[in-house]
Amino acid sequence: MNETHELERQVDGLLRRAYELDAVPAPGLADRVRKALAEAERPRRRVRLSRPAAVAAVAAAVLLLSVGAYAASRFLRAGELAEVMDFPELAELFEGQDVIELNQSVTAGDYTFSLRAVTRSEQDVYTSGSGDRGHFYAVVAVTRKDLEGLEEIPPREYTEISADVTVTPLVKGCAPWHVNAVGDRVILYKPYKDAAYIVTDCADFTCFADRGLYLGVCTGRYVRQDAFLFDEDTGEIAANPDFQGASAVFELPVDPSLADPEAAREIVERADYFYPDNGVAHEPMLDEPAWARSRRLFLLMTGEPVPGTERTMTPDKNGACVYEAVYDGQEVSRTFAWKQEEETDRLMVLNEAEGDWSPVPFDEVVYVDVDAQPVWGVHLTVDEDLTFTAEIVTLPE
Amino acid sequence: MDDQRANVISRLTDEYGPGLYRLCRSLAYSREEAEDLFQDTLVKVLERPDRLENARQPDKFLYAVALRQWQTRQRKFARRRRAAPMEPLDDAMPEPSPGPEEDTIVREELARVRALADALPDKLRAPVALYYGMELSVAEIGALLHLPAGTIKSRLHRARAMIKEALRRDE
Repeated sequence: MNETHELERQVDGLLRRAYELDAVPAPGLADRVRKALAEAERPRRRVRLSRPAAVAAVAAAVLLLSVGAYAASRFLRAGELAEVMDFPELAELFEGQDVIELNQSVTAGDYTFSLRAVTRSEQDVYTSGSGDRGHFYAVVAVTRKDLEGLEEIPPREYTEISADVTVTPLVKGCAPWHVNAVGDRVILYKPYKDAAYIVTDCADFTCFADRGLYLGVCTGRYVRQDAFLFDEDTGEIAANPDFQGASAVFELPVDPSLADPEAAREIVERADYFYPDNGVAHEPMLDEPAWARSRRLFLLMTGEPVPGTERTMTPDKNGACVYEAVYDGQEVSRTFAWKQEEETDRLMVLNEAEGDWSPVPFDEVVYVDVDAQPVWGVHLTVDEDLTFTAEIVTLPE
Repeated sequence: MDDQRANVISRLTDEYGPGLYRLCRSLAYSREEAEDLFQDTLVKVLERPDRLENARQPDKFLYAVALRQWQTRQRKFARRRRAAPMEPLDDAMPEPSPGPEEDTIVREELARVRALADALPDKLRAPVALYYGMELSVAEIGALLHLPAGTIKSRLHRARAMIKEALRRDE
């Protein structure tokens, strides 16, 4: 057995024993939890973003109030945040020569987004390892009007802010729904006084530096088509003042000499392949999880329904709907739950695998892949009358 | 408290508690976080106790709920505790197999391996926790994570390779 295999075998054994060390509950845990659950007579409500209808109507007319150094002093700088977090790797990252400190703030509707700094690194600050691609990091502070002046954000509101803001690098000349690099991993959320701090990690996209780079921020969990305006003539991207949420766009003064036209061309070609620029909003591009998501979208766009596999499912009285299928010897199952938002009356469906709520009509493909290649999927739709329909789709021969 | 709720609480803590806790501890950075995750999972299940009653495999149903709770926590609070050192291993916990004279060294090495596993990206960490912490099969993990078995295998391989590389750097 060679040295590599021997090491791998050792790691396997070490892992087995490492996980055995403290897998037994502490004495009395069951009793403590039992008591706590018995005392909590009312089940805890699901944390979700709720907004009174009247406020939502006002928010529909999002007003871009200011761009610049507004209230900049109230936010931590990136390095200060790292110190507050006692996160030495992050502190080191934001002391490097590639750091661009911007400390610019934009107020949109009830939100203020403040871009503190961006930087790039060959190393992954999360694992301290280097991978097959570079990383791009951004620190954004977010506040909401109703939380201003608080020493600490209440947990519920902090959770809402953290879960409902998306940060994405954008490229001038490329439609936001065509080429973007939304953070594939939010590596840190931190409430500090009245701001939530978000550090995102995404694929290094400075290969586009000669075209012009932006950082887009919007409420919602994905890059929304209507969050940004794209000028097809000039290629410029701006926040959409009519967006029914809040969004902001920051220009990044990145050195154009970092451009790598060949790498940029490959990325655009990949985007063209998986996301034809038909103006339809889609999920993020460039990073690895996006590739997984892109398989679903690829099947959605090119898949061919298998005759006779269409099924209509009825949600049970508790609002859950379970889909299971076996095709070509492989299984797929997915559970969907739905709910009605109290304030807006919108019907929402839960994608359990992603943990996200989406408004109906709902349309997605659950894919099955073999050796990292999509082989077939199930096209699931949920209509406004809560009709759940599914049919198997395969790639064309 | 109605009888159904009381029965579910009792069943959850007595029948499924140890297994569920083991999963929570496998996923969490610390015992404190594991206990929070354990309680959050039970609270979530109690919102819809009928789903547990109707589940074909109640233990797997609970694991799926715990995984979703963990994923949600990771998204919201990821990395917050990573900078904190691993807590000292509890003296009340089971001892590893070697004799006392080797104990300290072995425990340090295992704690280091566990810390490296905890520092893996989430998409690798979950399969590792389920495979080594829960001793589930690749097929069972795939079903829980809604991923093909081949993907689970490749993620486990990648995780082992990353840990191996980190250990090699330590030498």
